Amino acid sequence: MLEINDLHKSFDGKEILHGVTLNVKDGEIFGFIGQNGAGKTTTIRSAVGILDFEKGNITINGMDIKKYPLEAKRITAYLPDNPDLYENLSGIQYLNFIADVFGISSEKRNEKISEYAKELGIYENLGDQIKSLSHGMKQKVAVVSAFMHEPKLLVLDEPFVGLDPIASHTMKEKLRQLCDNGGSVFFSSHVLEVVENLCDEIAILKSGSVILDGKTSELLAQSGTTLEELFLERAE
Amino acid sequence: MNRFLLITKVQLLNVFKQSNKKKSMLNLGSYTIGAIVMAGVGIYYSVLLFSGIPPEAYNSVPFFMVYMITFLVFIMGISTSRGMLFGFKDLDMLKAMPFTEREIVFSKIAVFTLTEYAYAGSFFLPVILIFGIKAGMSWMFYVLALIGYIALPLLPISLSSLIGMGLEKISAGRKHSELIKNVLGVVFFVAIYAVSMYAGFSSSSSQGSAFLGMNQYFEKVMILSKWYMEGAINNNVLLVLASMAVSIAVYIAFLYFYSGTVMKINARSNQGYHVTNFQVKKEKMNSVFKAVFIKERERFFKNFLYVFNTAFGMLVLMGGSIYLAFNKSFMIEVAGEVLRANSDMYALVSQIFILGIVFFGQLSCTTSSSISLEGKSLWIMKSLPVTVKQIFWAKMLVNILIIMIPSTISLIMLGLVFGFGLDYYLLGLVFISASALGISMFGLLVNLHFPKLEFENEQEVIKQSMAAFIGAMVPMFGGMGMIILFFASGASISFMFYIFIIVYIVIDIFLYIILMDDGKRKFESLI
Repeated sequence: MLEINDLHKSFDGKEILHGVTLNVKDGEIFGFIGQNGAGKTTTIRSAVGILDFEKGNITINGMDIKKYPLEAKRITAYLPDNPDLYENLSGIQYLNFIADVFGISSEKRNEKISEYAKELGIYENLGDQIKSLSHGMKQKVAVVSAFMHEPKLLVLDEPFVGLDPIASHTMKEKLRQLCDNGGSVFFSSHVLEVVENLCDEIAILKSGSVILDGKTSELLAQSGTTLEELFLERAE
Repeated sequence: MNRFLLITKVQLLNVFKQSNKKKSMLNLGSYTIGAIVMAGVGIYYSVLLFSGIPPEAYNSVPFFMVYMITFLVFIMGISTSRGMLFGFKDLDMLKAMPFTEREIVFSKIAVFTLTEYAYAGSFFLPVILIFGIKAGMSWMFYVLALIGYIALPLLPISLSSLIGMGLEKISAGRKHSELIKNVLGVVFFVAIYAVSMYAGFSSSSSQGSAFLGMNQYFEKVMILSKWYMEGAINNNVLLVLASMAVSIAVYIAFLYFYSGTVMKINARSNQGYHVTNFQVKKEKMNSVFKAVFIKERERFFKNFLYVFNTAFGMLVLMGGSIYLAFNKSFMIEVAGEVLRANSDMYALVSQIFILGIVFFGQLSCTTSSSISLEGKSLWIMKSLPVTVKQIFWAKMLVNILIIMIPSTISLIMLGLVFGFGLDYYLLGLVFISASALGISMFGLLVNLHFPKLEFENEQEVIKQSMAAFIGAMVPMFGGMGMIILFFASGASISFMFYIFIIVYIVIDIFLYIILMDDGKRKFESLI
């Protein structure tokens, strides 16, 4: 579903990513871990077409993100680490904007918005101005917007930060559901316990290079440790 | 370091510093160029005024300029105070630190006051220097003028902030807060401008020295400014000190009043609005372009500062022409008759009106801030399946409509008043459309070259960014150049009008090509 090959990215002449290669398969939840500044967000932002990159290529469902950005973005949803939404709009205005962009019909958007918003416990607040919402509530609005158009690929940067336990649980269920239906999830997180329990495959990024990549179960079996121990051992 | 000074220093650094050296330099450059232009405008106007009056009337120039700068600080302060004194986003962070509320609030006012000082000083201090040299003033004049200047902006700053505070208090936390602010702000500004224009019209002086009549009016309203300049010119220390004492007293009173209420207003302002018993309703589905356009339109109209800084001129133009259409004076009717009888004059006047409308339209460049205003939300547009072309056109269409609608109404109203023919309407529409398209593309290109995606409040983007500055100045001076060229073209004056239209269309084509190539690349590289 998502293939990143030999990705190189520089900022002001300094190379941040040194040939990152990853492959997120259909129906798979892929966890991406690394220390702060390792290049996780840069990789993710390049993958969804926000950041341009110098070398390498990224394909989503076989479509090159540079050659076919619209087609690739139509089947992708992205959730950033910080939900900076349009502060002056209300939650429902923002969701309707996203629904329009993805061409979701009036009936379907009502159904989807109501369903996801109720499950995440944000329904009553959708009429409020986004700037009046807490970080977690904004995150929930962003989550609804990401799931609403039923993407094939969901790319998330630190998705559980700011979410309450119920919303966090609902989110995990939804991620698994999406993958069961053939979709894929690629997310970064510092919560290693969640990554260990939720992800089918993981990759560890260190200073812009992938230092470990493989099936979670196999990697843990080989090392005979928890993911936290494995990460500490490899990342240091 | 004293805690107040420390927090003020940090606030000031926050205004100038950006995430990297290049951006910081660009940011500092925009403030510097702003100050240079203000100085240039001050010098230009003083030289112009001095050239139109005899030496014995030279004293009237610094009086006029001091009234102008007081007026400008007051007018500009209303919208600037909204951006700098209210709705600041670092409130929670600052409150959590070991600062008293008063220190936080006073530091905000200090930064606001220093900004106003810098701009007012850039304009006014060269005027003092020119007048001093021209009128052969003694060193005492310079000393008093400089000392007195310390207090000069304090009264207009206090008054404008109080009005800004009133607007904020009425609207904060309401669903249509920006609409309330826009309506109240427009009503208030129109009233001020109407009074000022009345002051100018009611003066009986000749055209070359009309400002002398305005001086007579302003000296009754701006007593402290009058004391200050009178004291400086006549070496009357007491008068200068008196003006300073009153200004400082008003400012201190304002500080205490402001510090007592601002936290409550700010908390409400940052809170946004809430809706009770919300239910999802069926919404009409829009096309991708329409959705992006609506988003842009909402961003514009839901931002008091944005509307005020870019569309106010258009509102005044439209209001003025509607007023003229429904209040035709005898003089205007006679002028219409005379014009119809003289075909050459008829064509010339119709062209002058069109040029005037085009010039006003050029002052409304919304696109020069529109990319920067995406700020931290830029990821939304960049991650959605929306083409760069659609994003550009949505932003441009908002700008085009903001120019086209009031301009077309003005065109029609003036056409009806003076009975112009079809050619006037057609040429007017073509010229206005070409200009509106050009301005919107120019603004967008400037913003793409000078983006400011990091900001604490939108004021920094809309009023103080390099892009907003270029987007305002280049079309203004370009328009002025066009009008000067028009009147200087002698016998070929009508021909020049058609040349302008062709030049605008050619510029549009070039700008479009650059925008869709270089502009697109710039947008894609934005982070």
